[in-house]
Amino acid sequence: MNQSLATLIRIKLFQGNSGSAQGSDTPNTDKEKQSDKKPRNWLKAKRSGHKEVSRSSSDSDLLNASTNGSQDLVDDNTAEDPIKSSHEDAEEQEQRKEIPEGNGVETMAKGKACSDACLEQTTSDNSVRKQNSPSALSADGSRSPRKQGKLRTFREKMSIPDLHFRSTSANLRLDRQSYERSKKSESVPPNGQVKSARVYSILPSSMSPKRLSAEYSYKSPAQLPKYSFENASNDTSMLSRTSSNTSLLSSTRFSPRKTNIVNGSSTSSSVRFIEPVVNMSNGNLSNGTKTKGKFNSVSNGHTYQHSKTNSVEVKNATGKSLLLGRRRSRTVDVSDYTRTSSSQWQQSASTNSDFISSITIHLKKSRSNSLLTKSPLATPLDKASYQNPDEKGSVNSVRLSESTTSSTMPGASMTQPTIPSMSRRSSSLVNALNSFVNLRSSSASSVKGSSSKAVTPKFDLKLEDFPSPPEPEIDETHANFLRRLTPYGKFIAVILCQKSNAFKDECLRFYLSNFFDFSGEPLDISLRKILMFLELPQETQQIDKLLTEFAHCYYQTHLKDEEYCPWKDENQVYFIVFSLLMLHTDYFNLNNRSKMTKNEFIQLVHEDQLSGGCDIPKDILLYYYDNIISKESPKFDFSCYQELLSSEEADEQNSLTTEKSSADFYSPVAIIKATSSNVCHDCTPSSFAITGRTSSNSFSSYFPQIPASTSSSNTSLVQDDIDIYAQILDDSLKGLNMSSEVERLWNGVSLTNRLIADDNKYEKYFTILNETKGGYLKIHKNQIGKIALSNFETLNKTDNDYALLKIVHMGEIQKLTVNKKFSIVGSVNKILWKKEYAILTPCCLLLFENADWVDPSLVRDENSGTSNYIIDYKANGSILFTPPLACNGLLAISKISEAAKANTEKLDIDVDPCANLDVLPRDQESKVNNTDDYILHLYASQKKFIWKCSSVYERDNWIDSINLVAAYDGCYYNPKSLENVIISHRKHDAKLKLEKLANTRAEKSERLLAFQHSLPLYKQAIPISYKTKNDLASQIRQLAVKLEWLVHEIERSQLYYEIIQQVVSQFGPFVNQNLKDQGKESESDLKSIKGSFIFNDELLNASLNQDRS
Amino acid sequence: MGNFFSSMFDRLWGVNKELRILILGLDGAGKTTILYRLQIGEVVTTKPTIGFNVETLSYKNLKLNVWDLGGQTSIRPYWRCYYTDTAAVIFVVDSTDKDRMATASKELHVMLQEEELQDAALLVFANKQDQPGALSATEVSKELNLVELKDRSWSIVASSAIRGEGITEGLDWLIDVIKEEQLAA
Repeated sequence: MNQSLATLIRIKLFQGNSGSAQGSDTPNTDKEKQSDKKPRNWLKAKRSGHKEVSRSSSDSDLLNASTNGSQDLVDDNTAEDPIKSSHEDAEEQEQRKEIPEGNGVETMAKGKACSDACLEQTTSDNSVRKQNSPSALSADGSRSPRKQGKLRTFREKMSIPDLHFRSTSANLRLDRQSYERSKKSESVPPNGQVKSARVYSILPSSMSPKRLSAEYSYKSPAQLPKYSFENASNDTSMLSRTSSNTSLLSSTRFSPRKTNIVNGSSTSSSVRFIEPVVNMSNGNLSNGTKTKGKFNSVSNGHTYQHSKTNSVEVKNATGKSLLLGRRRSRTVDVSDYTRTSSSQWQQSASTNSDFISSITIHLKKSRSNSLLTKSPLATPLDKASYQNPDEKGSVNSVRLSESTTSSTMPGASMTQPTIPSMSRRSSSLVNALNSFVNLRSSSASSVKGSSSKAVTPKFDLKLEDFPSPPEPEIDETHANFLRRLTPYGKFIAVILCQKSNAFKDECLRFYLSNFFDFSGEPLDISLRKILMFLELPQETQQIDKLLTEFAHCYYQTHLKDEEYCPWKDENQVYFIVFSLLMLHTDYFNLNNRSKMTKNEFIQLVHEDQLSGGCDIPKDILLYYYDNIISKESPKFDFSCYQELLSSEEADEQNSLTTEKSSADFYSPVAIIKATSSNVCHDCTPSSFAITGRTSSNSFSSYFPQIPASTSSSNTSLVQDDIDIYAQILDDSLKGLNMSSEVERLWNGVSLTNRLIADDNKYEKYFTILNETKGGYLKIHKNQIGKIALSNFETLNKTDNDYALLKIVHMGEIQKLTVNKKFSIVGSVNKILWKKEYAILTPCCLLLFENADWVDPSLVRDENSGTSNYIIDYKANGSILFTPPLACNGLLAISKISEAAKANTEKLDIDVDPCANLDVLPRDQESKVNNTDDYILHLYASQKKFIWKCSSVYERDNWIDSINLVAAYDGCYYNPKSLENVIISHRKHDAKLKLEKLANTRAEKSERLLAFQHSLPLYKQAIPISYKTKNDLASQIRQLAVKLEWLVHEIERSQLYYEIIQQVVSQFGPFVNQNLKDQGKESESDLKSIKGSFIFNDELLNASLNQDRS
Repeated sequence: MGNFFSSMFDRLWGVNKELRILILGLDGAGKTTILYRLQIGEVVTTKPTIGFNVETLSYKNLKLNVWDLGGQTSIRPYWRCYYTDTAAVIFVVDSTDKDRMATASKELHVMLQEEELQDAALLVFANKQDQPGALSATEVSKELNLVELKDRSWSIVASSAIRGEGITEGLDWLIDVIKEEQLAA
């Protein structure tokens, strides 16, 4: 008798709902009214209980939520609305009709009654009642309705347990619904079918989803407070991935109000309010167990004997785990269903005891977890249940809490009939405790975060657990074969790679290209995606096959998508993705002790010439490395998703008769679509705000070797990792990539600027360069060394002890300088314009602090018959740069592109990372902009100046003169000059120089193009960790600097080219007769030209370092 | 004395020493099965990592780190870093797959030409002996042109990974050779 009583207790959780949820089977309004009062008392009790809770738990939201929930609960159950109750009754009747087996209805009713009895028993002293309940049980066992009336008398007192069951039932119904669905869609072998069918028939309620929604839609408008309840259960249904069409609809309908009622955090409240419910039942259960110690063992024995009840038992446990799983997961529970059924099938086919015990461990773990998690809330509830029915009200609360906590163990053990040893149990309790702590500490855990936790399975499914896969038939289409493989879910790839033939390869390709969407994703994330949805084959060659096909699809997708495809060919993709998987193995496989370092990885990939691994930028490889090692690819199981999806689609087809859908397939695209859209549906704005991530308890418990990251928080703001899997499921990857960063720093090439105009005065300056007459800077020979000119030659050399530098242009300019001042408060950058004096000569640009020493004197030269101004350079004339700026490579422009301007700021930021990043550039920019007309930007090798001139005219003169001199630097011309005039070494004539400039330009353009091709790699990148993101961002910044220089080099080559052309067309080419052997020299010359351009990695690094220091 | 020496050697080959072994072969030859066969007796405590097969096993006081490598030819340079310090190569052949014997032979010889593998011992498993029509070890060795191999200790062992036959014999030989070579070095 005790045996069956225990069974009954367990059954009541399901059956109880049918009776309790819908009221009694015979409508009794008197009783309903009676029960009206009690819940109010109970509510008070509960509230007072909450005060206790608030002391222990600081989470006031939680408190609110649960108060809210309980209130709704009460409102729901007081049945104040007669229409509603009658409706429920009617529904109850209907429901009865629908149940295929007559005894199901009876069992339901009896179960209800019996459960009441049990509850009564647990709440009161049990010695007397005990005898009643066995009789109830016998009634149940013999299926005679005799005792019903008698048992129902208990009900009068038992409105409160009803109440709890009511709410439980709402959830259980959903459970069942999803359970049914999974049953329907699951194609287990016949054995399993029969078994599960039986399980199903035992379950009293066979509510169709439509009915459910009908009920909702009817009830909800009637009672406002009930919204939150109904919605909450809808939310739960979302969370539990029931995702039926109808519930989706209803939830959307409710959502506007839901936001208001459910405290703005519907999910959490929905989650919370269930707690007491479960607890209640648990508490009752365990109290029963506690008072009657035999129950425990008895129930064990019973489950062994009766396979029927066994399945109910499992169901029971899963139902619970669904409830408690609200936070941890929304899918674990549903997957539990599938697992449960598969375990049943297994049990019948070949008793794989390990597998089953692993399930039970899991169930047990979750259950004990739930008990622990809820224990603080359980206390007031228990109190309520104690106080109300007996109206003693003097139960010691301490004792109560004792009973709750102590009840954990028996409660857990009840669901654990197959657990072999105590030690395992205790360890699971520890786990539960841990996760309890985790749950409490990260109460802000987001919905999205929980969704990712959901998909972490607790045990591995193996392909061997399935019947052997079918072989393709002759003339079968790819889609058809894939459809037949759908039940295998994530093992599709394994099957397709095994014993592969051309057809299977094509199928694999078809599958990957049709059911995955890799567009816009970085390679490493796509790899994660594919590993997430597909089981990787074990054999290396099979892995290879999968990766090959994946590379193909990835490449094709990206080839289509992007303006510049960063990938050379699919073989390159294959090589990189293989390297990534290898890195993953290398890093995470515990059997490999010598891990590849970052540099080794880069070296390995860059060594590869064959597949183009060498073409992948180092930055990107660094990013890949960091991203791969940031998180081990966990195993997921989406079979449940798939089943739900297909059933959902089936519903859709029935109602809307849509076209044939893709739900016949195991389609990751569809899963992602569904999950992301569901998130949209059941998310209130507040839950959107948290772009969540997984907290420590999901992955870290699964992969203990990975250090757990901190709990959930806002991704973009806080140092935290992106929960990449949640993002994949939410289909929200694109918001996370670096494209905004790239675009901020680099918005395309502005090569369209026309740098040369008709009003340029190149001819004038070339004349100056060429004529004898003009100004000269006279430098004593001793001083030449001091000025340290390089690469010059002297014209008309005599033995005089001075040298002359022709002055092309001179004048005062103002140079933008940034004074850095460091103080305790923080460094302050002061921007000022500093007056300087500049003298442009054919071989260099000299900058002086001032012009005080300048004292020109008119000297007549007898040889040429010209009068020239000679400025005697004195030693006290302080030169700012030694060596002076060589003309080679100088480029002066009046206006730089917006991008370049932005980069100027970046450069300055790089100089001083401590500086106030926001204030400085804007400040500087505004200053620059104010006087934009007179500003010229001077690019010298490794340096950049911003000059302010006194007038536009002056500025243009500077620009033209500098550019002309720079263009003609090293180029042969034949100036008339005085004696001992120093000019830049003339290495080659104009024609050759033009050629070289054209070459340089082409070369740089090519390089720029190459960079542009690799830009999508940067843009797509989704760094998982904060540090990686920072690293990548700084690399992007450097890249932007590189690109800027590259653009300027191209512009410069172009400009020089045009200047020389213009001059040559005017004056004719100067052919140097002495330089016949140019051909020989050209190579070294070319080198020197290259060297003169900044874009040369060594120089660039040097300049970057210089800037930093 | 013998005991003394062996214990000294044991110490030399102590726990710290880990030997890298590559297991190679065409697909379907039975590499994975052999790999798991080798694992027998080991308590598998870790969850399998997604990716390639890497197993550590201790055998006769030696720690072996077995890598299951393979893939397209273009990947091969990538393996090089794993080739270095490789003590031995286990090559698994499907003895029943006569059609692809030539391919296997080619793969083997190409691989053995890698500079980093010059010192590695070679153990060939003529696998799937349990199946009808399987070539004998001698026949396989002929097909694979093993005789051509110079300056390399090699051995071919008929095996059946399913039944677990021949695996330990092969491994015993391998361990002996490795110990000898490492002593000589």
